[in-house]
Amino acid sequence: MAEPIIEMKHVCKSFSVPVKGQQGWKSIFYRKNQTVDVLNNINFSIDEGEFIGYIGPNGAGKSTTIKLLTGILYPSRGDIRVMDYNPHRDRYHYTYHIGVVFGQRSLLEFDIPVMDSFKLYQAIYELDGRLFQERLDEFTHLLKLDDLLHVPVRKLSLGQRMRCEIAASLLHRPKVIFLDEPTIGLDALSKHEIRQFLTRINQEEKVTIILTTHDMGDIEQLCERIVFINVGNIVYDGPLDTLKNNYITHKDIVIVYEEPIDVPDAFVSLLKEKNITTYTFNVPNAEVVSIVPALLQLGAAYDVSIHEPTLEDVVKIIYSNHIHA
Amino acid sequence: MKVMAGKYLVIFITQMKNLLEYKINILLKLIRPFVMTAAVGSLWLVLFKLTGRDNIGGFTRQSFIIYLLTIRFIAVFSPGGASIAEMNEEIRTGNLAMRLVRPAHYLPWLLFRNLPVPFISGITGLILVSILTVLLGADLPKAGMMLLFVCSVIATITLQYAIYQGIGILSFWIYEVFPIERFYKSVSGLLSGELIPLTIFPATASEVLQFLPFASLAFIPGGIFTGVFTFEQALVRVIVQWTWAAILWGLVITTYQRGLEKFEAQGG
Amino acid sequence: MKFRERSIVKHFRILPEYVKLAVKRESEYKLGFYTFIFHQLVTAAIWLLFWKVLINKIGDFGSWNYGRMVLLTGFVTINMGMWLTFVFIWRLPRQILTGELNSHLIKPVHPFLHMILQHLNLRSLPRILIGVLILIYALSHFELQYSRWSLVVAGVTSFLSFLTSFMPFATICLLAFWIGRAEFIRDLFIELFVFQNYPLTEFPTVFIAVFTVVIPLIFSATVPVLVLTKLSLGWGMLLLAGLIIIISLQLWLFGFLWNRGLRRYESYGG
Repeated sequence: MAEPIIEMKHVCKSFSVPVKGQQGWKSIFYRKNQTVDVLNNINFSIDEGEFIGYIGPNGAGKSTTIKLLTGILYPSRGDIRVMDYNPHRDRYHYTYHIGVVFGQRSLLEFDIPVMDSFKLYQAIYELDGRLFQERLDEFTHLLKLDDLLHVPVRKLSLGQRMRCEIAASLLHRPKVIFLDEPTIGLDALSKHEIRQFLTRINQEEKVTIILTTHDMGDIEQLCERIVFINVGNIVYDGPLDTLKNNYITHKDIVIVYEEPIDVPDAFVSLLKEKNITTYTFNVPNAEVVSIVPALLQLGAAYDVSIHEPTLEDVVKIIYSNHIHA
Repeated sequence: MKVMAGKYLVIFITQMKNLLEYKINILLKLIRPFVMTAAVGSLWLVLFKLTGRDNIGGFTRQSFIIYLLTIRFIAVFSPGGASIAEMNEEIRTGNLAMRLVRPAHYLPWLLFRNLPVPFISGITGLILVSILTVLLGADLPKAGMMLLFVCSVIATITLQYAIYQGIGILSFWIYEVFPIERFYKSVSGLLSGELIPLTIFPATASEVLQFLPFASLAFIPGGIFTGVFTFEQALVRVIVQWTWAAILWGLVITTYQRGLEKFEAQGG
Repeated sequence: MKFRERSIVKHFRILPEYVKLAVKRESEYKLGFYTFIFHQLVTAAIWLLFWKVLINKIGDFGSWNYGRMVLLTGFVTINMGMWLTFVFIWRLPRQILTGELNSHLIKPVHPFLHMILQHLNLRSLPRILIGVLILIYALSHFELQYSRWSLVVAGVTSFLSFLTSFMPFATICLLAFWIGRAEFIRDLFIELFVFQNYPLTEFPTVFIAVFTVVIPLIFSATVPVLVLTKLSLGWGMLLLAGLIIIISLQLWLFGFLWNRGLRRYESYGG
């Protein structure tokens, strides 16, 4: 069996933050700090070519994990290996092999044309002129960069800039790519184009991709495996389908009757919502087939539909379960 | 009107709270202007020692130190380069649009937002200057002169804000106003009497310089406080100061209106 | 693991790329560039005028006549010009505090050098040129005694002395790793730079000691003028050696704190 390309073992990360509410002039010279654990004992491994969705609510520790994996942060405890490198210790050599996109930060020079930033990257990553040109041509075609390369970054729209950011991060053919909210704030078309591009390089070049996002559309369309983190702990690590099956225990049956009905006691506990003549019942998966005919008997109905919760709903359930736990 | 004033007061208080979050920084900000004073002061003390003179350009060693402290305390009321940078950024990125959609005027909004630091530094400076003047055994100006001094300081502050906001407003036409601010600082450093009292210049140059707006920024209030002028001379100079303040504010408001007409609100 | 050349050396190899970038950036804002040159000219002229007015009124500043003051202004202008080339250092505390440093850490570069070189400021070149012109003017118009070798030693001292003010400044900026908002200490520190403009040998001994050992601003202009016009070549070489030792210590301290700081770097939290 092949060695995993990324491995995190017992990784912890804590930050030191000032204790709130310190008053008085003494606090000018001395501030009490406390340690906040952002990641607690994180363990996972990722094989080459996997496309991982790394999700969780705000403050869960997603970005911290990405920063640890990219060598930006030092772990407080634990061991991180990516392609046999220790990211923070071997940072210089390691970064030749990774690509990183931060959706909320630009890697491109703001005031000058995109192409000039690309040329700087060519020098930094020591890319051969011919290979650079080939790669650039490929990206220009796939990401539709023709009209953008000679425009200063400050004049690009968010979607255009993000396409250029992704190209800049991948020019050197990295083996692992870290994407931190790459589709944040983008319109539907831009998202679609970026998703298509990522799928393609994942499948054709066998690039390993780790994606953090709040957009469940990204996850559903791109990732086979989900790592779910909450309050610094991994709460789920497995296939997307299993996640859905574990959490989708009920379906919504929506029936529109011709006139208001009286819901019998046996069905009251299933009634989720009522809106004039539209009734929504939340029914366990196993009972859907048997209950639908009974519900249709309650009155003259002219429409019925069955809805499965979306991944967005599933995630909401998990977030709230863990917040209230 | 009352509501209007209250609105800007809240802007001031909010910014003050923001500042108080970093108390050590306030302390350093208070010290900062006086480092420059210490530098210029030490140069002059060395000069007095080297030349063995008691009086240079109408200043004794003692009155010179008081002069330096006075002009420094007035200078700290200046909104500083940060206010220009903020304005420049908001205009060129189009973020000014976010200010314009609120029921508050931009110029006073900016003014009150930038006031807390000068406010704290100015008050501290005033206390420091008064204590040092008494400790050095110098006479404080008499009531009439003191009144003129206060009028002069207010005119200086008014003028400073006009100049800084005026430079910031140029952002409607010029992408980068930072070099203009630096240019202004360099010129005003010498021509305002900040580095060297204007009486040290040759007589004719000194006379001319005292009626330019730069002198209003340091030499006139500093000179009034240290007794360089007679009451009549001081009165004339304060009138000149207020005239410059009125002219420059008139220019600032007109230019701002023109700028708004040109504003593109790019981005987004 | 395949060994690649050391990251520091690489930056000098790709220096032309950084310069090209800086040229492009400047060409985007030509008006700002020309306004800035004008500002440089005026600043130098103002200092010359300042010394002229002062010396006319009170006579020489100890052993410093107007010719030497012009030289002093020339050396300060060159020094500040070199400083200006790497002026992005000014933003280091902000880069650390807001996590902007991330973008330099994820590339195969030395993050500090890359950050500084990526933002080279070419507006410094006219300033350096103005400084050189002032020196030429001083040496040709005033009766100053100097030799070819003293000129070389003074030039090298001036060139290296930029680091004696730059490195402590950079080190102060690193405090942001520990205290967060280091801008205010940075701003306080920069105020001291005004002393570079003064003939520090005429100041009390305590000033000379502080500006030689603690914040070695004496090397920016005072020492080059002395080396050029007053001291023997032997003394000049000795001062140069002292300068090199001070710079080595400063570089070591900076490197030490930089590495320590990176371990503490929080990248703007999680």
